[in-house]
Amino acid sequence: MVELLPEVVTILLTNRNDLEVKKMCISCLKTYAEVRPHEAAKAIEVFESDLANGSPYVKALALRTISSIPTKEYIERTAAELPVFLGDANPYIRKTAALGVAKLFEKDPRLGQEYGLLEKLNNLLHDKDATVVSSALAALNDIIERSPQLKLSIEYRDAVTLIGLLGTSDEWGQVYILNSLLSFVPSQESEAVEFIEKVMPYLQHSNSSVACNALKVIVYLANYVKHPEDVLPVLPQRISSALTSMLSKSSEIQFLILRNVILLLLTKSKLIQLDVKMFFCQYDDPIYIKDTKLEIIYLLAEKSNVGIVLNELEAYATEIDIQMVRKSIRAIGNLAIKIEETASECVKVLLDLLENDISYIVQETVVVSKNILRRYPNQFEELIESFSKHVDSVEEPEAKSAMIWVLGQRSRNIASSTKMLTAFSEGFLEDPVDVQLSLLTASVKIYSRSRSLDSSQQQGAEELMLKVLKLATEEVNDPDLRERAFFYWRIVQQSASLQEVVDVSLPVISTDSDKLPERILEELELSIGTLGSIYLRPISHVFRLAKPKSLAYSPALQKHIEGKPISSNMERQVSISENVRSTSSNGQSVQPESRPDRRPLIDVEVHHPHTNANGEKLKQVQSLEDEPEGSNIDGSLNAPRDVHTRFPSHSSQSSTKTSSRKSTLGRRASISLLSRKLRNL
Amino acid sequence: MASAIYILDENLNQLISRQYKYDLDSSSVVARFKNALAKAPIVSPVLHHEGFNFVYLSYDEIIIMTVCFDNINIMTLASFLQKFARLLKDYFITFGVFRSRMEKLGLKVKADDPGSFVVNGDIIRENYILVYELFDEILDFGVPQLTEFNILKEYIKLHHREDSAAENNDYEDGLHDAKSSILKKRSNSTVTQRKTSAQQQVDTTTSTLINSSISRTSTTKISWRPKGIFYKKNEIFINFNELLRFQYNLETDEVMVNFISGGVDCRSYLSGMPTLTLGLNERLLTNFYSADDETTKNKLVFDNINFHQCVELSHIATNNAISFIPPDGGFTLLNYQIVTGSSKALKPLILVRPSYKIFKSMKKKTTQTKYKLQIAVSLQTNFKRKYTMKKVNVVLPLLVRQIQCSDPKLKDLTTLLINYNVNPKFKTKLGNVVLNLEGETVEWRIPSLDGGIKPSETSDEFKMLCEFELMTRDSFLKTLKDNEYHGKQDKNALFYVEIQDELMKLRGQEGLQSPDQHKSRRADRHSSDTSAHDDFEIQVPLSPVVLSKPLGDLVNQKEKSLKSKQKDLVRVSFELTAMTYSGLKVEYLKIDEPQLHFQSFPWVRYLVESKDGDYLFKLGDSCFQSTLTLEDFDLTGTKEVEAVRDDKDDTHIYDQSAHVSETNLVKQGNKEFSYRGRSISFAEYVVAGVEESSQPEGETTGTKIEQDAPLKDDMENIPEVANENENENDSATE
Repeated sequence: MVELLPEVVTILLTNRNDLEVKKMCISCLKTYAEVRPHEAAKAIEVFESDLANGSPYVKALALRTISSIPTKEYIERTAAELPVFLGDANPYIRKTAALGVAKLFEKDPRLGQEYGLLEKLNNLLHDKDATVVSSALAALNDIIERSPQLKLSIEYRDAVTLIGLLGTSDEWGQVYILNSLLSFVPSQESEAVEFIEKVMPYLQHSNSSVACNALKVIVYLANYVKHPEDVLPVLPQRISSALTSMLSKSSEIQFLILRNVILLLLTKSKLIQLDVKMFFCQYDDPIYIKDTKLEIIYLLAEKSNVGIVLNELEAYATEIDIQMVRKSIRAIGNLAIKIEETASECVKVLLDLLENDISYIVQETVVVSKNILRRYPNQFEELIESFSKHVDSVEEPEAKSAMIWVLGQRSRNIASSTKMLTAFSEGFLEDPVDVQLSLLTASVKIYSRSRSLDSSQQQGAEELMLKVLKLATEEVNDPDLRERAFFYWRIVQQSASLQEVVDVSLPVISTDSDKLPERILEELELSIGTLGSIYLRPISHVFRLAKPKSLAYSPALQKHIEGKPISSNMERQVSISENVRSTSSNGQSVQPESRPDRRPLIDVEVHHPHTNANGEKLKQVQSLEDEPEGSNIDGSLNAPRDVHTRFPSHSSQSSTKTSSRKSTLGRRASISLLSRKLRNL
Repeated sequence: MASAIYILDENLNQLISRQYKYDLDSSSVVARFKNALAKAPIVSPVLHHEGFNFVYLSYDEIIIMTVCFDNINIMTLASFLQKFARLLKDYFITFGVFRSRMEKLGLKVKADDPGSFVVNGDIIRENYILVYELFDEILDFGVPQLTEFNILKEYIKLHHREDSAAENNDYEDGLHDAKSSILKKRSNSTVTQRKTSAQQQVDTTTSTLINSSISRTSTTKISWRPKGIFYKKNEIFINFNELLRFQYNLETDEVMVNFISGGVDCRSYLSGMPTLTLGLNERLLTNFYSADDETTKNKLVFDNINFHQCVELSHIATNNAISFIPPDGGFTLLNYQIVTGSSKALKPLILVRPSYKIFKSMKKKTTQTKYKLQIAVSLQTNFKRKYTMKKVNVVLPLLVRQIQCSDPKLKDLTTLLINYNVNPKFKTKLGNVVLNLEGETVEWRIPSLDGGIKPSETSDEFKMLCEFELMTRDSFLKTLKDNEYHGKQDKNALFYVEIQDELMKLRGQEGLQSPDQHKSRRADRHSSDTSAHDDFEIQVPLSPVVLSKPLGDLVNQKEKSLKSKQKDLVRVSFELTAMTYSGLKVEYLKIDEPQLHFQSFPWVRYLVESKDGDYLFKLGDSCFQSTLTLEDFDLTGTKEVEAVRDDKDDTHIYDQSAHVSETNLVKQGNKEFSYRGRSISFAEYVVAGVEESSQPEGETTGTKIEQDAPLKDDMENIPEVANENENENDSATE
């Protein structure tokens, strides 16, 4: 196909006025230009003439094309043309140009920097046309995600303007505008509340993506309000109803929203009131939805609704789908551990399930019961009783080692435990290491207790232990197992301390351990509706290049997580000094007209003299970050706060490894917008 | 956002693609996607595989897939894919692609029935130019742009070519082809004309002119409505549709689920840029928008409501009315859901009370005992008398409750089956009754039903009565054995053995026909299929019982588990016009067009609907009555039966009650019993619906016995069921 590129270029050159042919040629050009840059370059004159004197649509098409083609000629052409078209009279062209900037930055950020495109793009944020603004925001968002030194921050007044634009933009535009509101840091509780109220109607939008992004903004802002559910009593109901309505959409959307519900339950459970019944599985739900719903059911279960939850879980546990069965049994087991009051009911259900005597149910039940027995050390003898009936059907390694653990741990209550363990030891060499390890421990444990028993039992226990120790030390190749066996062997020889070592009371287990750390949750919360929220894993694990996100500090911020932030302060400070240095060595200084706008954050602190220990510390860091120069020229400490709006300003932060190219980009990409306008007013 | 977008066909072959960013090697993407599908433990719509993130949507018979690498806004991408799929369909419908395809294939075209149009790989291939143009317009750098069909159709047009036979998938040929078609178009270019009806397709004069106007509209505030629309007659149709989901427990007389899913669908044929203000009954809206206070309690409140993008969202709370500039043509103005609890004010529109009775009747002439099942149903409706319910369909499951018997040995013998050799009797004054053997149900079809019907003991006007004869399972086995010996076959054998067997075979083949795991995993709409495969994989090491069965049986079991859940449910479907269940009404509609000041004709329609399977009555123990005792069973024949059993020493327990747990079925499925050299298993007897198998039409006719019961009081006068189909089947099997 590539061979045909010259012909396609010829067609393009000869059919300049036929739009449809042109579109097809462009399609071909975009695909193959990279392979044959020289051939492709011949077509550039067509686009040049289009840009010079085409109709707006043709101009936009040409602009879109040249910015898309990743060869040197086209990139240079794009960089040269973009500044003009960013200021075009036609909004459609401005919009296309805005995205063109993002395309250029993807390919050659330095060139974009040279032409000062970032500043021009910033200017577009004050465009009258909502579509242009949203496209500019989308483009900026893309550029910022790509370069670690840039950051968008929006001041109160601009945020108000943006919200005003929401009403006049199309649905995709709304998405980008809503998203950008995350760069606004409310300095007072009242601001946050005001914005939440303004964004709330968009929860009702029929496009789930708008609704979801509105939700994201609200959740973000709620961090800056003390008790959002008290200040805005309708909020939980509105959020919940929006979630409900998205649950009636197609299963793909449902899945995404369900994953986000999990996230919300982990972080902002106060903001949502959900009835667990909503999440009961429909029989025709795809498996991935059932799976997610199961997790939510588990999270929503509490004392008041545990009855219906257990009923439902029990129903799933007898379904035909084995995966579902296993997961629901796990959920029942976890419930017993999560809520103490329900433990006995859960155990009852598990016992019922055991009655069925279906292999995989038994395996799974044994595994979860082990945890229950561990959690409640002296209860649920009935579980053990019914276990002994099913000893023979335990096959899977996990179930086997759980069973062996129970036999060892509760040997006092199981008369024939030694016998059963001896039976297990028959297949010792064929078992996987996990099972071997637990059998080893169990046999030593039994032996340590056997001294108080009668001699025949004592003898049985000793035989078992010796057999296992012998096998483990002589015939097994696994070093872990061998070492542990030797270790036991030595303790057994110094018999005095044996019981203290192997048979101690175990620490109580709880389900809290499967919660994610707060900081990761915070980052995930800021990523509602993104891929990260679907995977529910730390974002940096999945996306290596993703920027770390955290709640920006403001006096209104309600929670502060102790500990080291994801990207360390040290690193930032280093990068700052580096930045300063490179600035001076380059001899290039900040653009003069933007200088008065850059004011250290310290100003704000004066107006909000609300500080605490943490705030103090953070404040310093913050001011350093945001303003490396640290110069406070006009020092108008008492200026009304409206005046010092720093709309998209940027803070520079870079890793220690920052290359010189990157720091050029980062250096004072001085974004100063509305402030200029405001000053003129 | 998305780095690239791909359209694949059902077998994951790439049809068309467009790359938006240059951060990936496009040649390997589809292969990786296949890999990701194969490796994922649970196939969800978002897959992560070796650093690639795949987001995909299967729509009709195509899959739209996007690739991305960053932590992108997935919700936006997913909604975008939905919009795009819908957009494609709109194009193909509006520009008559489906129509001409179907005509070519010699199929009848149903008028304006979008349900019969399926987007598949061939359609995409034939219209690749359109798809490429759309790729250009709807996404730029992976950022969603214009996705509104009403606008796009004005400047991206589909020139459906007659000579599609000459088409080639080859790109180069495609180019020439495209060129020639355009030249052709040029030669007979038409004069601009404004369309007068929504379906009319118009060609345009010079593309430059129209395109410049588009570049304007797409950035204006109202992206969904082009300027300059003109109609001679200005009309707007507003349809209130409510779909009910309802479940009622007859045992406890409680409403368990009462869910209204409503929508306001509009079709607008209005000129200019009109602003419409729609006032609904006030309380509904205000209640939703005000906080929970005491006054709103016990009133009906929207649990949720969402609006089309044309609605001015910020005005609703303040003005208590919905104001909007409608898009041209059809759109859904708003959707809402109302969940009414059991205590809330709304009464169920229709109540069905069935009662099942099993009794023994002795005929005087012969000494033979007969067991009978009688089902009596009464109706009650709770809406105003002036309204009429249409197309009421009550589906009653044919349940023969197992008669409780303490001795488990006798349990086998006392299991009753419906004897289809004897024709059932029906009696009703209203509508007609149909026996559906396949779903094992009785359907009572009532063409129209008045409101305000109260149940009464004396009148049997709104009642239905039907009677079946029963036989014990063992007597059935006995006759089966006898018949086999004589080379005969009766209806029972046909129903309980032959048809099930055939169905099973069909299913088995269906299950085995897709050996390619990727293929069946891929699409969620085959989810039941897919999960059956998954089951299979996991079950292999666990349960040799399952392993020994063909794959098709597993599919069966899955379907059965779905079906058996519904076994004790009475399903009702109906349509009710001229009112909404929630009481939502239009108070006023104001149409305001600043320039044209035309006279307009608004039309409003209300419809409440419940589809089959959504309006349910759960049967409880109180609905079943049995006058039988153990003594009623003639147990003398036991010994003979025992002999029959000796063929295969384990006979299967046929449990017709709905409460068989799936786990039991797995076990029971192993117990077999042989008939005509085939081994059959009773556990498989619960038949899944036809719609879930790919069974050809012809096969089902044999299983359905329909009978229209005339409106006669007299039970004796009911004619016998004539069944030719079965005779055919008879001869075929012999």
